[in-house]
Amino acid sequence: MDTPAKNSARRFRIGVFPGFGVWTVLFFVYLYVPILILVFFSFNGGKSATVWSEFSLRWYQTAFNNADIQRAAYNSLVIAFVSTGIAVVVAVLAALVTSRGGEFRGKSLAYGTIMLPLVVPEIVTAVATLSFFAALGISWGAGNLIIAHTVFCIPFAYLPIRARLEGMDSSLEQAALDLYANEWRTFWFVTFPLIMPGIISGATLSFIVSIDNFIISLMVAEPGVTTLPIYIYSLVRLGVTPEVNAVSTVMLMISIVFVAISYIAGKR
Amino acid sequence: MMENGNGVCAVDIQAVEKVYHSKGRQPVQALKKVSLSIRDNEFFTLLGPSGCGKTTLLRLIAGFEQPTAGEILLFGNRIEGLTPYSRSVNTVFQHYSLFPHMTVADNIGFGLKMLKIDQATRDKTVSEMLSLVHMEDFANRMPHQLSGGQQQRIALARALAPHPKVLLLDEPLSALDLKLRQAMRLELKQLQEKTGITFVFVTHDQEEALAMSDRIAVMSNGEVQQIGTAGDIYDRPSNSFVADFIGETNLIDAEITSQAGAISNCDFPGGTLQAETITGRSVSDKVTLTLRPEKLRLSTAEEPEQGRMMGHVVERVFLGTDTTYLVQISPEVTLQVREQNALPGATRFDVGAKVSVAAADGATRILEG
Repeated sequence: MDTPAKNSARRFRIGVFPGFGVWTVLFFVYLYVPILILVFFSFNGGKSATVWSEFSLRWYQTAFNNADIQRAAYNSLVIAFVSTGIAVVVAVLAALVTSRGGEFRGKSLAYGTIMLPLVVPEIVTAVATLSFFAALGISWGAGNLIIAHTVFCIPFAYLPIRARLEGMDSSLEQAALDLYANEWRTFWFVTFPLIMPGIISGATLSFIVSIDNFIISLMVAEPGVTTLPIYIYSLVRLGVTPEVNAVSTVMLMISIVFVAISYIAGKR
Repeated sequence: MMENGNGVCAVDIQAVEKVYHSKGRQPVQALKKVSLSIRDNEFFTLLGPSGCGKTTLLRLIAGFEQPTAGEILLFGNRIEGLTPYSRSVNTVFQHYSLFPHMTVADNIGFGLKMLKIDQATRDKTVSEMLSLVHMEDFANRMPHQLSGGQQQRIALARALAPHPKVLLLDEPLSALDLKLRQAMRLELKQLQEKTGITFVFVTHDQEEALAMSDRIAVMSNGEVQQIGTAGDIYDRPSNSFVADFIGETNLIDAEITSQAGAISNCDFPGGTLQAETITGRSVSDKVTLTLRPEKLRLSTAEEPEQGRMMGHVVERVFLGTDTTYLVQISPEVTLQVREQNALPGATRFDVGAKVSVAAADGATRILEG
């Protein structure tokens, strides 16, 4: 038996609690087994997404040759790229103002407004955006989706950029100003290269949230402008085939790659 | 151009005030009507404890902040209101602030590049600067590959490369260890002489200030307390703040009992000392005397006479080259005395020993403030 003194001297480690390991395993099973099953059956040679027959890449072939999927994927990529581009520019400007603009009236209000899309229920944003477009008679095809996506991409782009700016010593910018660089050149030669990891991180995050957005896209999308998640949803309604698994797996891979980029960029 | 004493005025600060306003707080007056002139080709030091306004003054000259009132002139031209990049003034920052994404050479060449100097001239200046700070082999390193002392040299080279009219140094040695700091003091002084550029150096370290400066401005509470050479402010401090802040001193409250022309006799519990008469202080005025510990001598002489006080040792601190004694000469007055250990015939006095303390001629000074 340990003496009380010895007990109190021992470091607190939650990992040694009885049953902790079991819970940890269950947690990861709960999180990832459905995804692993989805990936597994995407390589199924048979027609079923639940009964394994043989290994095959035929569903990937089918998916890549499906003109509708190609179009949906193209739409998704274009919307994600353009929305991300606009969102990053807005986010950089917003981050510069909130981190380098000194104290001004309504600063916390501005910060809250930028972050608001993160907490407003998505369905509310979706309905609001839809009726907004309808009221103004805006019908620009993919343009509608780009506008809608830009809105919720901004906070995702803003957060890592702001974090990077806050972590960057403002005396570096003062040094540049001191060495005859005007404000624009200071930004271009010093601030911008140094917040680049934050920009990459923010861009990849907003790219991912755009690529796999469903609710807002479904509401706002006009006929003929289908994104990949909407198309997958329409496939699933006809029954889950390994083709859906294959498309989903590709999307998963894209997400993993981008999250990895974001992570690596953030660590730099 | 303004003429000031024996030279041209590089920086002229005229009645400059700086007040910081922040939401929900009392405005802070960082500088109160400060006026001073820094001569061309001078190593000028702003010395004071933290919060005295010395860094604020430096930032006003650099242009990072604007004065609330007053004028700042650079070689006769008013510069307040100008952006930092339109002043021919460069800064060495406290934490160097080297651009982490640029090589050493690109860091040094940055100012010249912004001034649109052509590549060939730039390369030439960069290598000149590298050899000036003895860092020739480091051109292609990144800042994070350098030690603190090396970064310091590059920061100096970067600020000197555009050949500014005035170089501002914001406590540049404070992040270095003692040995390196002492070596850099000499080097900075030599660099200033070699380049002929006016240096304005900010520090809270009085030793640093005394070692390098042509002139020193001692600051406290947003005001200049005294401006003078190291010798001036050390030997003739104008007030008790300066006397106490520069080096170590004994401050004694005394009363002038008689005056004979240039000599005032000052009485205090435990002794009488003679000091040079100063204007505005006459018989029966209360004054503060300053007496440097190294200008006092201990002996075993018994009979008290002019400038000699009797007391006993209450503490002894061995400091290597010197020994500091605390000698109590009356219940109210305890004097600090510094004896050099290497002095021929130096004797050690034990705690409790009866001693007499003698002040050297001219060692006692009456403070004006």
